[in-house]
Amino acid sequence: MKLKVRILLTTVLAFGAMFMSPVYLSAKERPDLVIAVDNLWETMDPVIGISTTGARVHSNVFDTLIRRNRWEDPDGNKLVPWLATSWERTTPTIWTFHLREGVKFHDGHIMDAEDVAFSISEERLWAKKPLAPRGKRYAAGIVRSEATGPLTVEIETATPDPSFAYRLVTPLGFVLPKHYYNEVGTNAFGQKPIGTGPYKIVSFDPSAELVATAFDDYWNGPAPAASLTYRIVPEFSTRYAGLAAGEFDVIVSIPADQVKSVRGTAGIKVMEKSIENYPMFAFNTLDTEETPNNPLKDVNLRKAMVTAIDRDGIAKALWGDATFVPAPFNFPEYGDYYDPDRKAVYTYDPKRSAEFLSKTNYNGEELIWHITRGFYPNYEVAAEFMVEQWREVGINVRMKIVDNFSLAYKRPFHMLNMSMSSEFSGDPYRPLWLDWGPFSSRTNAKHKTWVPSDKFLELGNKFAGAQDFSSRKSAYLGLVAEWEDITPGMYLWRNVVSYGVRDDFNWDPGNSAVTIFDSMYIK
Amino acid sequence: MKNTNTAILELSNIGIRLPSGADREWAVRGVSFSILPQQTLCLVGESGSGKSVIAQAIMGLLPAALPLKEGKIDLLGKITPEQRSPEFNLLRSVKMGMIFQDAVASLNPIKRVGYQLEEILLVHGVSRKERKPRVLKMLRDVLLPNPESSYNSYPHEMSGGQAQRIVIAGALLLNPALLIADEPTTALDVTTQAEILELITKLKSKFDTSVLFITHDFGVVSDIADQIAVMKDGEIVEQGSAQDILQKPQHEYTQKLLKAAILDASKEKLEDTEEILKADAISLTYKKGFLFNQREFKAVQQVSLSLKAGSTLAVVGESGSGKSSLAKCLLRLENINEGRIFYRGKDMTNQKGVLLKEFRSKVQVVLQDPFGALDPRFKIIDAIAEGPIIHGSSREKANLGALEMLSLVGLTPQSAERYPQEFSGGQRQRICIARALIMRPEILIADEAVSALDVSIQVKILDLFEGLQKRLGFAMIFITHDLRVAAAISDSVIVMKGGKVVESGPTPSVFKNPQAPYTKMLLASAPGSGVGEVK
Amino acid sequence: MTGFILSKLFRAFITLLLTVSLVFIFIRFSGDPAAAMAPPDAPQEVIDQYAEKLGLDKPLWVQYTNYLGQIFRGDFGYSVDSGRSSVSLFLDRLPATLYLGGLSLLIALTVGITLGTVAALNRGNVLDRSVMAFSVFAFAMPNFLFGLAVILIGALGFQTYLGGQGATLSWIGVLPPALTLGLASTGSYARFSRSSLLETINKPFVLAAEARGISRTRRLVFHAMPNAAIPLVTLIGLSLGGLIAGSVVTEQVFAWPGVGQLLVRSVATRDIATVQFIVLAIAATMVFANLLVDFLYLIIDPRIRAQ
Repeated sequence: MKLKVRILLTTVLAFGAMFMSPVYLSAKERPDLVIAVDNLWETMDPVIGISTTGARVHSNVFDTLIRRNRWEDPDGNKLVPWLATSWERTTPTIWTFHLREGVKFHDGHIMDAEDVAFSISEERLWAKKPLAPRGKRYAAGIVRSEATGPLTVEIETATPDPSFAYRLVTPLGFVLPKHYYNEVGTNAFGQKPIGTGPYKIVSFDPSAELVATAFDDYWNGPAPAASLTYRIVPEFSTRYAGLAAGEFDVIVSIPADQVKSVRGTAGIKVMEKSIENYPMFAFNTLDTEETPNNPLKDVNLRKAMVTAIDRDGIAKALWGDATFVPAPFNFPEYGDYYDPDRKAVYTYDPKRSAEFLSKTNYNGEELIWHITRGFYPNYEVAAEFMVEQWREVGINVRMKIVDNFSLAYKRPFHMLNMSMSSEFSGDPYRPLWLDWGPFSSRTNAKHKTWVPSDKFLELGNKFAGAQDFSSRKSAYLGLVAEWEDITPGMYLWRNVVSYGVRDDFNWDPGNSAVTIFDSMYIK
Repeated sequence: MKNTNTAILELSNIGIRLPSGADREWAVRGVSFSILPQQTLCLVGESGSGKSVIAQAIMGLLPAALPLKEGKIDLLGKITPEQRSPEFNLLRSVKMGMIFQDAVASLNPIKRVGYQLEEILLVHGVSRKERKPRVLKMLRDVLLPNPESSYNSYPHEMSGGQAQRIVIAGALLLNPALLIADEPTTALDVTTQAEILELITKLKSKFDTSVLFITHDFGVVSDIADQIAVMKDGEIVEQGSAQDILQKPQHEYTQKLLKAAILDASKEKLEDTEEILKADAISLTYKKGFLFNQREFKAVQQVSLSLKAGSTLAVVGESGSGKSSLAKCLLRLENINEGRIFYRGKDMTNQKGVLLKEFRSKVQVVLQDPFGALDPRFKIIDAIAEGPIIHGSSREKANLGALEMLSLVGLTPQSAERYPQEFSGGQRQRICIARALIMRPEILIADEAVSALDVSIQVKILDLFEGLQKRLGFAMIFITHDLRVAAAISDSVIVMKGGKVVESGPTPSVFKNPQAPYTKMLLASAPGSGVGEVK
Repeated sequence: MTGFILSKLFRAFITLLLTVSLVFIFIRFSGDPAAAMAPPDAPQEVIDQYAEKLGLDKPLWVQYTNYLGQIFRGDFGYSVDSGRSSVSLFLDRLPATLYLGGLSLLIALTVGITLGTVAALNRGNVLDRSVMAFSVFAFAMPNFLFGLAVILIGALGFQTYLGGQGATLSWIGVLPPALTLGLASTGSYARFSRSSLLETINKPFVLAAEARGISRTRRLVFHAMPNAAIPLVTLIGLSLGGLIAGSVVTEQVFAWPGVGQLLVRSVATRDIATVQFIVLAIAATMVFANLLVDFLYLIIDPRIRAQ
């Protein structure tokens, strides 16, 4: 009997070995990398496909004009010239970019200023009906993009923007081949795009996989992998199984509660990266038809709620050391604007919370908190802790978990889950002014939650107009102070993404959900 | 080949065990008889007497649960092989053939008749070339009007009589020495039954075959038997030549069965009473199907009848004659398309609500199948008391009434607390009658109410109906295919065919002096003219 | 006969029309599709642009009549972000699903019916009881649980990945999901064919065939089994009807790139046109499988033909 079982096992193992994919046949050969992703965006146009599931591919196929250096500093505070070799601010509103010479697209076509001007053009990004509507926010304020020489491009903004260069590290900065785009049209381009990046797409099936092979004429030298295969594996356990069996080299999105067991698997390492996105909730500070006599109109109640929550404790319990709770708008990705010593004005302090509460007329009215199911990792778990902590101080919050954002936006609600990304300005301009200012959805969408105070607007305009670092920094601190004084929302933590990677694959994406497999990131 | 002196079949002291837990130890025991060449032996008995088990044993079809423990069966002088053994396949169809009560059910529903008959030849080694001609010849021999089309038919496309001819053709294809017929005409209408019996008699001499004919009906027996064996509870109580037994039955049981087979329309005449129910030229047409697929079926056409208080009207007809549809019309379960129905002079045709409810409580029904009619989860007393409670009586009062009814129909008060499955068919029919009569109906409609019962039980139930009618004074409409039943119980009769009334009148005159050709044919077809005379 | 076919077709048409309408209603009443489609912090402007692209800015009845009109013209709409027609997305994924579903059905049929027949012929003994125990297990075992177990055991126990191989539909890749998907229906086919065969074996015509001298094997093969197979047609029809819908979970677990995966992602990204078309296709498959069963009965069961 025992003998039989052993024979059976041996047979199965031998059989199994036949199916194993031969990754790393020899150390010198370039590997074929397989990345198991939960999904792929259905188009690979790098602006129409703005999303995590698209961004994992984009930077491997396209290059941006400017790039952030995350291979030395995980938060990428330093800008690196990339397809643009240099740039200068010609006038307060005009920027001139000088392009790299001899950069080839995947079809052999040489990139020039026309391609760049087209990529950031009105028809593509900011017209009334643009080809790629999702890019509007990144292109906000641009009024002209023009090729002024074979390798020179001028971009003009409506108002002076000292940190404009930072926008070109975002999807706005991806350079697309004008000739090819015009030849095949928007939709076909999204299905079989070409760029100047280290890998060229050879096949793309949006509900199965994307395969890209090394582009041998890449301007920055050959790519370190022979090919990249992004395979859609929706179920985490299956991604994990594939990684454990050696089928995959990288897997994404490990559920927070599974990280420990994945980490314990032989041959696998787990990377948890805090990224430039901050889950939070907004207080609905308005009286609306659906929420008349809204108790949250009273700033003291909002402050009572913020001071009632032990955010550090919750983040630690849920994430360990993977992330932290930021002081409002004090983010490490902002280089000199980041002040590790600045603390939030309103932190966990039950006594203070009680004082704030005593100044209100709040009488235990139920406050409804709209949360989108499963959108932000650990959000619902944290919310349960928080509801409990509020209950302890006498504030009655009810979570209402809904299936998508359009349902979350449906009133009545008193609190609304959301997240803030901090990219593209190099300073708190975007999260503080664009996301809370007069043009933000917080103030003008159907689901708006507040009306900025006159002082907030005044300080904001001052911040937006400040051109040099020191005046900009002091304007920013003034605006944050006003924000905290009003407390229209509460930030939870820096969001976390996780990767499972084969132990012997030396790759680190930095603090980012964007995966890049070029020679900078693979060591 | 066949020696006239040796028996074709000889059973010696057969004993077949019943599984433990059955109501008796032996299915049959001590059974001996023999059949001589060209003879018909009728094995007569009621359900449970063991007669079918004997047929199975001869064919080698006994299930493992019914082992042949004693005695032996000789076929053509040779002892038969072990039950269900493959060797039996060398005898079946070759030396003996068998036909069953439900001929359609004994044919594979999805294979053409021709295929199934040829298969018999195939498995017994007849060459392909010979098969079809032989089958067609046989189909002509069983007098099927169109052998070619029968050959290509499916079983469900045939009437019961045609199917029985097919099955007979199959049983005789290889010209066996013995034909075993297990109640082959019981499910058939009288006219068809007469034809099949005639056919079997004819073929018997044509093919030089002996017949073992199993039946419960002494009428049939008297038409065809050379020898008779009467069975009761697994034993033969009397056997002998047909003449002896039909003329001078010795055993009490034989006498009883014989009496039940007599058509007797001599019920005493009733005084004239008021008319309680009247149907005036009523018609019922069924619509079937949906949208593109509609068909019409005229179930009842222009039927008129009149029922007098305290009297019994028999509605006689073969299957498909519309007699049950007529009952549904009278019960107002179907809305008639034409004509009018009057109850005590009131027009009930389109009545609704309270008046209809009241009418329905005055008209009760007893159905054919006493097994399906009672809910197995209800105790008997609850089943009987249900009606009065629905119509507003208190539970105590209803239960008292139910107990009274139980004793009226001849059941003990102890029965009240038991469940339907603990009763026999006859007892259940008594319960159904009690359940109908507790409503004190003025009219009782009995739809084939005794057809599923054994003859001796039938007699008892008919007596019960009559006795109760005398005591309680209700009128009855008795729907039946059985002329003897109609004759025994009714004061007047209507004869139906194809939804129409072909003849009506007082029972004695219709039976003694039928006018319509159809009535004449029915009476002529009724088996058992040799048993007694129509009085 | 023509009436029968016409009325069946008419019913099928009504069913599909109802499905189409219900899908239309449900998608529009489970939150604003445009808002759900745009990124979570998209400005109102972007949401409005999506709404316009989808025609959601028009009154509901106009949307509905346009929608029906387009369907009758064979235009099932486009996925907004990629601009691909929902039909072509669906057709791209259909072979994978048919491959998986077809193979699993084949497994279920052959294994299930064989087991059921073996069990019926050995009624009451150990073989019968083990087949029945297996079929209860197979039927009760949730697909995703069994699938996950298969995948994890393969990977952790044997260092073998049993999930899908991306866009390539290899026969090795299809086996694990097909076995998983086929397991449950194998159980029901085994049970069903067992009881159907047992019922048929005890029918009078089988006994009558024995009385005609027909051997046991021939009774089984030529008489009992063809009749026992008739009710199985209904079950096979159900399986065929559920071919697309039934594999959603298994496709997710095994990363098998079929219609099920497309459906899940289309729902997640609110690709209305594709969701609508897939649901319609699922309903149509169901309806046509039912029609097929009805017509198949006409062919195999002469009794139905007669009605």
